[in-house]
Amino acid sequence: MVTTTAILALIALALFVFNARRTRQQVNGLKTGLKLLLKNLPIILLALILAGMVEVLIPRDFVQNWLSAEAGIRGVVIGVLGGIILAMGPYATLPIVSSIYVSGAGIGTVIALISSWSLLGLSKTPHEAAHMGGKFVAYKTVLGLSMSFLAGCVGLGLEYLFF
Amino acid sequence: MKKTLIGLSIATLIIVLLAYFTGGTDLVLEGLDRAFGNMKKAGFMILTSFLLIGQLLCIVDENMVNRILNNIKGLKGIVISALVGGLMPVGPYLFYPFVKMFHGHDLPYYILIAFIFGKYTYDFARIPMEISLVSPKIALLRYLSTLPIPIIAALITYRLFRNRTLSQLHHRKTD
Repeated sequence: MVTTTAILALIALALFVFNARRTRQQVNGLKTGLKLLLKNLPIILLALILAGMVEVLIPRDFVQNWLSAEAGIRGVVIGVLGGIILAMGPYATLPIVSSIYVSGAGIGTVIALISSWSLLGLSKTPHEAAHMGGKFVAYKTVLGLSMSFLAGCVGLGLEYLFF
Repeated sequence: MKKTLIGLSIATLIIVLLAYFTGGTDLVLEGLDRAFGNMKKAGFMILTSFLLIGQLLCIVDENMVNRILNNIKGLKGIVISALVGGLMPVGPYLFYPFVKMFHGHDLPYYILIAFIFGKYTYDFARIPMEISLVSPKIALLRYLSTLPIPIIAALITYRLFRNRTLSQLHHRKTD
């Protein structure tokens, strides 16, 4: 955790220096980042509480039978379907995904969940339909479903091979 | 944002009540304990992530994306388009009006699909959040597993529609 934070801080510092030299927007960048954090803080806190509750409530048997690596393709399918109904932004969704992973879900399931949430999450559909039309939504849904399933299967394969 | 907050508050309330009726106050306290433990662990990382995102937002703007997308084609175009999509730092409420701007341009549909799938699959501004809120291992494996997705999606689209543009596909019946 400390190493990851240090790496992120180094990247942020590098971008700060880049902005100071090229765009002169480094201070604006700091302000934007802090404003974004403050704006999203209530969502992050609520999502973390929700995730903590999910961790203690989710039945171990359910995770073992339906979401773990042993669940195989079944876990990937549930991950894909679950991602679609997680119709929230990243600050709310990612802590919930984390709680499902901590509870024992397999890597393939979690990857399928994140992939389908990011590609097909229901919160995006109204914007897509309004601006791009129904045909586009239908095409993107079919493509997104198959791609999320594929990503989940790759994750499952990686889990079997390396973990 | 407001809707998300209301929805999330309701969901949290329901799940807290569920925990209370399942295991009483002890289970609720255990859940809160885990939540605050996670907050303590990820707090500084979340702050760093947002500072990083703020700097990233200053580098990428819509004019830059527009300039790049209008000058690319082929497999190289697919890869560049997917990467540029990943750099788009806006939510769907701003992203799709931006994509709609390409309606009148000669941008092939497969390039557009690479751009849209790149945006949602790569979303580079989300990497710090995935690392801090889920786990570095999952973030890395997720990126490795989904790396070819925008390219495969664009290649399938090219196979189906060749060089047709979004406007041509939308007005197919009148062609």
